[in-house]
Amino acid sequence: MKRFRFKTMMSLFAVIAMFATSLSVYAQDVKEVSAAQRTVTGKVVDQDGNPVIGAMVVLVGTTNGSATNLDGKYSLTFKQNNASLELSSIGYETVTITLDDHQVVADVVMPTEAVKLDDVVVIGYGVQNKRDVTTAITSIKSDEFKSLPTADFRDAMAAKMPGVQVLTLGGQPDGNVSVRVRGIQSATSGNDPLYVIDGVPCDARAFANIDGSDIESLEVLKDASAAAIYGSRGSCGVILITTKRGSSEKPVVSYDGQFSLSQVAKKIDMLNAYEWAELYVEARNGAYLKEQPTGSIGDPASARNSTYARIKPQILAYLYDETGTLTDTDWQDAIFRTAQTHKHSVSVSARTKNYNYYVGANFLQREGTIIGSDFQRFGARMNLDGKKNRLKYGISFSPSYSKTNYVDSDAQYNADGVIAAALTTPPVHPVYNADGSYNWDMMGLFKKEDNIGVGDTQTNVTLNAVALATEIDDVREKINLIGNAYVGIELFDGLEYKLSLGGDFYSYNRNYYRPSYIPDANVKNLISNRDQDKTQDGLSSVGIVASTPNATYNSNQYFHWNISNQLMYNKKFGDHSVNAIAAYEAEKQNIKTATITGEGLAGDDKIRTTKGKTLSVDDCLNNEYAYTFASWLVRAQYSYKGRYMVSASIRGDGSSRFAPNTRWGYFPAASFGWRISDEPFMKNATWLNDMKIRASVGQTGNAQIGNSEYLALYGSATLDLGNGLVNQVYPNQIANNDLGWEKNTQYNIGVDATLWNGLLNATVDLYYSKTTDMLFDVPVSSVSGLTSSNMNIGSMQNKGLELNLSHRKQIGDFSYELSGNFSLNRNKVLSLGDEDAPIIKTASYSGAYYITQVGQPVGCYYLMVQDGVFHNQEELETYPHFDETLVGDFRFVDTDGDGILEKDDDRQIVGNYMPDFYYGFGLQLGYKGFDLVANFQGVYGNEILNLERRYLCNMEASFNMMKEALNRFPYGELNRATRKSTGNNGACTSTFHLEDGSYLRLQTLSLGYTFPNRWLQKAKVSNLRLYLQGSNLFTLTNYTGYNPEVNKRASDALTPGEDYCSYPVPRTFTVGLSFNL
Amino acid sequence: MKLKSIIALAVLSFGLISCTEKFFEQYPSNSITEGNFYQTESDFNQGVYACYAKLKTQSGFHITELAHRSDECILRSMAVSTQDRYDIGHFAENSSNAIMKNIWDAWYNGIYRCNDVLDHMPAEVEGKMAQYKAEALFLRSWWYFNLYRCFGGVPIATKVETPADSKLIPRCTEEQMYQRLVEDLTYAAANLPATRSAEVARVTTIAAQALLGKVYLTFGKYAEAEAILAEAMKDTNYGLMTTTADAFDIANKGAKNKEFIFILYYNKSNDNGHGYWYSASTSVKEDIQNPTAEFKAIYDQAKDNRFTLIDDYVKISGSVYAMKKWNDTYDATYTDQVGNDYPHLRYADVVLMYAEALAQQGRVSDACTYLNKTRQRAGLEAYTTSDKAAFIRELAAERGREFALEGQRWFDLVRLGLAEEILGADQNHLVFPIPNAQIEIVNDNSILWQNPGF
Repeated sequence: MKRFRFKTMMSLFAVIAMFATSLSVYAQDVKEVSAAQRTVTGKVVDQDGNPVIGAMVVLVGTTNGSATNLDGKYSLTFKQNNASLELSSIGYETVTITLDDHQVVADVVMPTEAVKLDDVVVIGYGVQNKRDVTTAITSIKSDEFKSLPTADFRDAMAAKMPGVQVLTLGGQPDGNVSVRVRGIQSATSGNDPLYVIDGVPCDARAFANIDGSDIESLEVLKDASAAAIYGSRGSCGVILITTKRGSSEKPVVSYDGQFSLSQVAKKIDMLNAYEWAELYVEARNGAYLKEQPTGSIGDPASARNSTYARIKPQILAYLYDETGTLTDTDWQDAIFRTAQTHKHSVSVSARTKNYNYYVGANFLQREGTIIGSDFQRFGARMNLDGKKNRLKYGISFSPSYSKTNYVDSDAQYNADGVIAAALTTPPVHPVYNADGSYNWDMMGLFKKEDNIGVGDTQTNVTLNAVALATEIDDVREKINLIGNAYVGIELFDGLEYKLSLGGDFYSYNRNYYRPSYIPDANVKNLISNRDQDKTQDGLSSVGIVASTPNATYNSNQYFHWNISNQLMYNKKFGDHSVNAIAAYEAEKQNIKTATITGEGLAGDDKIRTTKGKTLSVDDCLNNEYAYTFASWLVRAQYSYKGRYMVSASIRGDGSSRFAPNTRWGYFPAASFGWRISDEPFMKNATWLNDMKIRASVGQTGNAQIGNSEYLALYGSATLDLGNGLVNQVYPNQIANNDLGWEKNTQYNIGVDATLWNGLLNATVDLYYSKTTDMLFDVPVSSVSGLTSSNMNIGSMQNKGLELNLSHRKQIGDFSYELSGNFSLNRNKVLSLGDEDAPIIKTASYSGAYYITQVGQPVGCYYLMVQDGVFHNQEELETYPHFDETLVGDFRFVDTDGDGILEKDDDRQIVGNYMPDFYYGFGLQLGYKGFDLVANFQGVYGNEILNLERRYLCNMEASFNMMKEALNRFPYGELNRATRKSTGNNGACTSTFHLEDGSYLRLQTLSLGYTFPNRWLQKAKVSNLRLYLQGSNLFTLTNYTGYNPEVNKRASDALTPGEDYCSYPVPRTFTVGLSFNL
Repeated sequence: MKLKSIIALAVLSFGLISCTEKFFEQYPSNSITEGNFYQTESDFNQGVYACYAKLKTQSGFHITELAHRSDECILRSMAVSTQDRYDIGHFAENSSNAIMKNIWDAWYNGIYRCNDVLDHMPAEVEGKMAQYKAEALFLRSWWYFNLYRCFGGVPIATKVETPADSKLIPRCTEEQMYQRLVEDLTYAAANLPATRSAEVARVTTIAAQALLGKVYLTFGKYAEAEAILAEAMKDTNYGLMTTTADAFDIANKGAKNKEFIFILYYNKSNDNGHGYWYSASTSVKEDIQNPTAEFKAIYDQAKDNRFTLIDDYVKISGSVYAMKKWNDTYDATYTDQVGNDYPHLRYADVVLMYAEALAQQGRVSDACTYLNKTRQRAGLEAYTTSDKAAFIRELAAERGREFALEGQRWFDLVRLGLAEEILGADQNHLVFPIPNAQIEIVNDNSILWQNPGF
């Protein structure tokens, strides 16, 4: 009984997870036989002589125990004769040794367990033996985070967890990651999973500064039954993060350092200056011949009526140049660089009989692959846990600071977007003038008329991408302080009460300054010599008109607290084991924001803040708002012999985000597990070591909506009734006391199996989920005064399959592991309210559409189908086309078959950003000290709307274009080159802009060597490991943009998957070193 | 830590999070919410301001579309951008006409604003609060009356209704509409101030009386109309200006204008002006199509001094010629704005409505006296008749001349029973179709049904 209690107490209290069974030891008043006090020491090794770290060493019959340190050594002091020690550790067979009464040294060999069955997983409000888990949970451990070269620890989750899609939306040095668990659960509310750090729920912002080296384990609760314990915030999955605790009896100092070099993994293949000039000339001639069918391409500018049909001599010169020495700028090379990253983390940790601690600090300095962008982070963590008699307590504190020099990679060419400016600026323009100053000819030198009357008024104006990247200040700083404390007490046998308080403070501020020497993108702001003196022969730029500099300062402060009362009961009665928890908790988040915006005077660039600027009345304001949650929950788990397991829970959540009528939502869940391999009738199936069948059902909610959706709200404005301006206040939102939670009901069936003594481990899950009461802004009767309102209307479903397989084997010194996972999710909208009217929304460009309609996945592309070009007049005459369409223009499919091509009527659903399936697989090899790891990830069957192609492939040559443009008619199957596009080639977003986003990527490849500890003993160094790693080494894809995971509006499920310029993802080479002292 | 203190802490923490209702009430500091608005008299005043502000939404319906519905203006040909107006002008509108949808939405939004103010008022009010209540009731009546005149019976909401409940309110009967308007306007007339403040666009007693008079006439309650209009004419704060042109002279804007009773007030100097109404791009009369020649024919063009108001233009700049009735100069700062006010009700209307009330009761010669007040002001000789039908015909013409382009003529001709004869409208087109989108949202023909013929 004592023995049992010892063990269960362990798994209950040790939220700290991995080395749980070696963690807590309880002082116990044991009747001891009078004997001399002695200290027994020894070293524990496995059958290969490797030290066994963290093994529990317990004096049998007592709870007096210790754990082995990183060298496998232990030490235990007691006064007892006829003593025996029991040694246990996850993955090893439990060994009991008997000591002689005077023995003080006892080295032990602990053979590894043939099958590594027992493991502990964090399940939310507790931990559970992995054997007993009855829901769909997937987890990764600290090792996966160790050598991660990026800033966002979530990158480590990529491709390793079935059902969890981790998307790198861009290659920003501070990370740009989106996580989706089992697809999209809501059309209009958020789809981000809930993050919980050491038991405290938080927004994504709270871990913006968390370093992967502090993380002990990360669990994802995927099915509704597991997530239902988080109730209203569980429907998009829950990610539980557990930070490190001290686990070694002797203080251990760990260091991990890396240095990386990154480059963009891919450049877009753009035209060089000579190719561009050729297309430029062809496009002007094309426009001329359209207007003047009797003309010839040899006609001089003076013969051409339209300015856009005239050809600049500077560009014509490229066609006759044989020297190859004319300006030919690769603008991508101009803004990309080889970027360096330094990363260091150091920690000290230890555990003693009564307390354990972990203190760590980390530093990251990461340059972006775009000039002018970088990221810096300093972080620290202190975790302290202790116990005294029946009391246990702990405190954690983690401060961090980060600073980002941001460049705008996502904006368009006319909105200071660096990538867009680099891609669209013709290569005939240099970056710098001869005197080293920035060149601004791309601002429309070719628009201006020169002395021979040539000026193409329709050439597009761009800005100098290098100047944008380096001269605009955009500094973003974050300070994050996370802390929590708990105190627990064992009230009586098996019953424990715990009170925990958590909080975090987060401050974000941004200082933006756009100096006056970056002109506004308008040809008027480019001064040419001819502007100053009309008699000038040539035309060249001599300067720019300074812009009005503007400065913006934003400050956002978040304060969030959480208080939780928990009562836990844990008891085993023979073959029956019971585990229950009841909790009552509350939390509040308070947000304060402030903005100051002002404009300065030209040349006023010394003070790059709002000081001295003319402030904008409408844009200088502060605000404060808050939301609250109060919750209670009850969960009971029962297991009979570890063979039949049942779990049931219910949570009630109340939130300030919902109206009094619907304020409280109730979220029940139940699950059942059956270890079929333990049944007597399976005894003969010796090939089957372990097999568990799981079934679960649960209901969760989605509270990711605005803070005041249900309130009656008022707007204000001014008016004049005859005596000057006065303020009016008008209602603009009707109190909606029925606005309620989106609910998600999910069913899950899964199997976990271990076959052939661990040669094959398999997990399969099948699920079906249905979201109901989906919030939509639907048209309402105007008699209410409003024309639309948010209502709980609409439903959709997801169903899917997840598969995880691994195979592991040890052959002498050689070990290997193969693992793979596969995820498939199918989303379908079931209803959209009374009339089921489809929701049609536009992309960043108003001519590109998305549709959400019943029977289809949410957010489908809804475009015309481009089907080749018209090769000759005959084809043109025999197929529906737009009025203006000419030979050489795009042919579009007449979808409705009415013989008339219409942009609205001939659209169709042509794809979706959701993949058909995604997968990951990996290989690990080990030989003596060497380890080799390769991880691949892939996505299949998603489409991306590469909207930037409307510029980069428009055949107008007013921007630079992709090499692909060389395949224009009649040389290839793209439309003809003309400055005056006809037939809606460019204006009509179509399948021409849609691309297959499938890819297979070698995410990481690393090779490491761990030096044998015996070489290092003199230096008191252990576990010295040196490694080389490559990240994002290659990607097999047909996608022509930078990154097939791109998604411009990741938070809007109705319009996903658009690429309209994004930060390219880097390829990174890392060398790293880690050791313990 | 002792067990006792742990328990104490636990109890305390339960206590901390037990004060639930307050805990859930979180209001954003930069939004005005139900929780912090309608606390003071000034809050109610600002709410009433918002009701007035809504008058200008879709004011183009009064200024332009109603003139096209009548014979004042016409679109000779159709363009995509003007199709809805063209259809309204040619009795060809269908239930998806965007203009009708927009006024339905805008007027109900105005009603919602009024209801929101009224909902938050205490049951018993006096002083300023009674005035605010009266103003909200007046404006709500204005919108309901116009909804009635355009669509017939419509759903009546007398308090803020949730979107779900709004779908359940059926179209009202004539009687229900009549009762609603009379009750509300009677309250308004009794509680509005008698004299104008500096805020000249705020309505006074006479506005409620005049509107109530129009309601009575529209519902055929002529004795009641006579009584209330007689009451209105006792108000010495208001009266006829020397000429109609004086009433529209920008120099008489504001307090000097004793003829304007209920107006849209514009102030060009603080960005609350408007562009020219009915300006022309040429001074060549033959090239100016609106107002129509048919409409101009109702004037004695030689004698009637009101004719020049709609026929003379003042050159403003190269291709901008301002119609004399709406003539003003551009503001120095807001260089595309002018500041003419737009009258919805003016004293001449009270006088002519009084004439109408008398005539409809058979007192035709008495009625002539009042008709002649505006005729003679316009420079025309006195009109006499004892034939009621002839009088009504002359009244319609006189109202047309007096209120040209003021959004009155269509409703006048319908009320006087002359729309079919003069404008060629068929019976079904005396009202507009209920917007189809609304019928689809309600989706219940026993609640919101379409007017016949649409």
